[in-house]
Amino acid sequence: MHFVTGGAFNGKSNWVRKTYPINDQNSTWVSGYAGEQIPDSLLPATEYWIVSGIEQYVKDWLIACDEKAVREKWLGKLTEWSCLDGDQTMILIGSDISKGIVPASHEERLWRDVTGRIFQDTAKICDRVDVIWYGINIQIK
Amino acid sequence: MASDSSIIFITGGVRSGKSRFAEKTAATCWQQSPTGTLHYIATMQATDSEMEKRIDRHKKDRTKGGLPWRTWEKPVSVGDLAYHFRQEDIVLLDCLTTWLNNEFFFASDDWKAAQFHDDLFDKMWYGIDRIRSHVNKLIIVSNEVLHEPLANNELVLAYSRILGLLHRQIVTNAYQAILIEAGIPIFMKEGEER
Repeated sequence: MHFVTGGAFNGKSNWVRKTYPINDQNSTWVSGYAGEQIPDSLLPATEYWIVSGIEQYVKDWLIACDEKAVREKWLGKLTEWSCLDGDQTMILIGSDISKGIVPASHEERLWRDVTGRIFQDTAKICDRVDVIWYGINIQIK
Repeated sequence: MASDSSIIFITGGVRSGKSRFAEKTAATCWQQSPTGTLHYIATMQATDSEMEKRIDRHKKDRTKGGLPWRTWEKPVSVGDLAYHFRQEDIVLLDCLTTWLNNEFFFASDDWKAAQFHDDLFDKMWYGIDRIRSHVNKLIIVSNEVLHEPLANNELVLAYSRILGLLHRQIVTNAYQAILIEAGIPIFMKEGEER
């Protein structure tokens, strides 16, 4: 499982498309930025699965669940995905939202905090982690 | 092609020392062949006395260095300066984020249209490319501002998207891209000089 992060609009998705031989037939792309839901099971069993906009899912889930429930939900997904068979590659993309000034609203502070913790959980389970800086990757794991 | 480029891209957080590093870089470039002129493009416009003082202090600092800086104040349409420059000149543009701010500010209500975003990206990249093709080195300073929650503010989202696109376009076409952290340069891209 591969985690790709970095600032907004830094070209993370483009980098993934450039790095993996992804096409319409061999991949399924679920985008939190486009408001697409993460399906309960990873079917169809395409070679590549890409979930982008992790922080958007965190934001959505925080509307109905508390922090603990959101982290458990995400950890459940991670555990499930890390058991994929060897022919399948899971790629997770999330924007780093951790480096601005402290947001004024409680909701935004919570969103930022939980996203940070979830990124740590994700990096721990993934076997590769890259930070994208304007199209350039820095492999940090 | 990146290897034909004369662009050096320098970015960092607020008060990371990026402007100082950029000035040093420009000076070093100039000293290698001190026949051309050293140009400084200031995109910031003074709107209060505190800013006036800061701009003035920066100007004095540059003069003190003993190098023949020539300062241009150009808040928008920076590319129009291209024909003032010659092939042996070194140009320092400080900074891209303020330039983008100004373009949005002068656009009044147009900024909401998607076409405006595409046009603005094209205008700014074309401007940069025009200057690049006229000079020996173009050093561009910008800011790291894309690491915070974007919330649902349309203007911030549009601004961030264009800035991200510009940064990627510049880094792709630069021969050197440098991230400054606490005054220390991290060379993210080290290409061939033309």
